[in-house]
Amino acid sequence: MAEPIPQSADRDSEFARLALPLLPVIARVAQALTHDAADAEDLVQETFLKAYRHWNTFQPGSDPRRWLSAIARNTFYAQRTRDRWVTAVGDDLDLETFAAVDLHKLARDRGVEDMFSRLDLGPAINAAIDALEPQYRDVVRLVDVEDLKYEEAADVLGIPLGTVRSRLYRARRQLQEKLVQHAIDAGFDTTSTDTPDSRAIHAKS
Amino acid sequence: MQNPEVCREIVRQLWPYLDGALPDELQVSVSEHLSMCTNCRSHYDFQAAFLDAVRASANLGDQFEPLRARVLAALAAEGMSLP
Repeated sequence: MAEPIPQSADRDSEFARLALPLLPVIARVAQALTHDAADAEDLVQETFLKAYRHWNTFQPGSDPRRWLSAIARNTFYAQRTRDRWVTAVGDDLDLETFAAVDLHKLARDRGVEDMFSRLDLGPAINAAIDALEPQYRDVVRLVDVEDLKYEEAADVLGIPLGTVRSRLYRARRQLQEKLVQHAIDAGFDTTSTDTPDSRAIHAKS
Repeated sequence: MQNPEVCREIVRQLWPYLDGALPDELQVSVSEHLSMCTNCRSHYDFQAAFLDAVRASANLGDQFEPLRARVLAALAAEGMSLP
């Protein structure tokens, strides 16, 4: 008769299946909380250790990402005093939304409206995200890269839902400004002299 | 011809619409308008393409490998049987 699988083997395999794949998103959460690469790594390690030790408290069928994010956040707040961000954010959602529309119109007028399908913008997008101010970079990474909902990002960052939205929309507009300018500078606008070399370098394969 | 005020209201909802953050009824209303209004649809297409490009730009696998190795080592020291 085969020996029954020890409880710990089932536990470990479930933890490996459900929790370990979430390391990238928890790393992003940790970075958003700590704003320090080394501290973020420490927080990720501590989060997974706590999660493993308390895996029996995880409710099967519930969202492991939310559970792990809560552990990360609680660990962070328990371990250190969080610096308050002093921001000069204009919380006008309409302003940012319609600014994005104006940017689209500019892109259309300059002939780079389809730049996202024609150009390999990956490096430019990463550089633009890295160049954002931290409070904007955090929300873009959590919502647009890691696909967190507004409410989840608000929980992680400890900020109101409205602040998530206003920072996110402003960050998106700032990114689009940089990318539209990048496309124009690369010579892909139809109002400039055609530059085959730059097209060859930047076009998608 | 679309009502400019309606279009303005639809455009105000584009980001939360793309993020799936609108109430169901409003999500449906925006969808219906976008199916009929080419101008608003072009704004939607541009913003959707932008968000797709941002998501596609994420390079998650390689950059987290050292951290993953560190976390796995810590879990192994805790007694976890690694996969």
